[in-house]
Amino acid sequence: MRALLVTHGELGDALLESARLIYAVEAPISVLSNASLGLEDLVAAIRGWLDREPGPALIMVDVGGGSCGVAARAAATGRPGTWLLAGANLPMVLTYLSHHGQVGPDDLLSRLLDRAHNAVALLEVDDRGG
Amino acid sequence: MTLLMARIDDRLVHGQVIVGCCEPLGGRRILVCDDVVSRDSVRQSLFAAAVPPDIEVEFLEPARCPARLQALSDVGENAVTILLTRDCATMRTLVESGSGIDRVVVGGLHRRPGAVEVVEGFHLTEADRNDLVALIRAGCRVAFQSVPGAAEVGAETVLGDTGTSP
Repeated sequence: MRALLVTHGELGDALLESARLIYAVEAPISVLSNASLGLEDLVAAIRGWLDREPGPALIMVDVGGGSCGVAARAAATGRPGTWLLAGANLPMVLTYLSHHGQVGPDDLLSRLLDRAHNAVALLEVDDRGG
Repeated sequence: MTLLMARIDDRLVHGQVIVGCCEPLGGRRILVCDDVVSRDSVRQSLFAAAVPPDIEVEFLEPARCPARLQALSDVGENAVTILLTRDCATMRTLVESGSGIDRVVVGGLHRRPGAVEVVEGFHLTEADRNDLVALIRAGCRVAFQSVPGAAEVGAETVLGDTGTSP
């Protein structure tokens, strides 16, 4: 399943670049920044990406309630086989890189959600002095 | 009329408005004044989905906004209301129709055909300039500011002579 990462500023590029430092594989993932784009232009850009090929498509946005999320919802309306995930983080992108071609859409979405959620954790630190 | 904020933003309801404006300023209502969105239930549901449950969002056509603003003022709700228009022309219509708006923030005007970047991140067409000048001549204070706390640029600095100097 191909993917589009839609984010504010350069976050998408940075996420993908960072993910590839860790897991250097080719994957059908593109990045779109909302920088300088009004809402309608952003919707049109996402629709253009969706129209490029048939088949299932995944859109990952940084903030569901932001312009990226609103535009992605608008673009995906009426298009079965298009999934939207909000809260894109590095573990989500890494999981996409490592699993996109190996499991079906439902399984992939489940893994992406699971990894993205579980990445947010309070880390224990040994506070005893040395 | 002292609204919490009257904002021009071509993205209408989005993160900068909800997180950047409502949260720090205590906004509890977003009033979207837009001809197209007021008649588009799909767009309304998309924007409403972006708004947290403790913030109300309304969608009105411009002709009905002045009366709604007055009604909100009558019950003291204007002070927690953020008014949004997509463009300068709609805000000008509201101001010139006697809505009582005396301060306008240009929060987001992105790249469009015919628009020139006048402040980093803000783009105006000639029509936008004319509309903003009209706001100033109508007595509004107009400033470019993406979110509260960010750099604020007075519109006169950008527009030059607005014909309001003594």
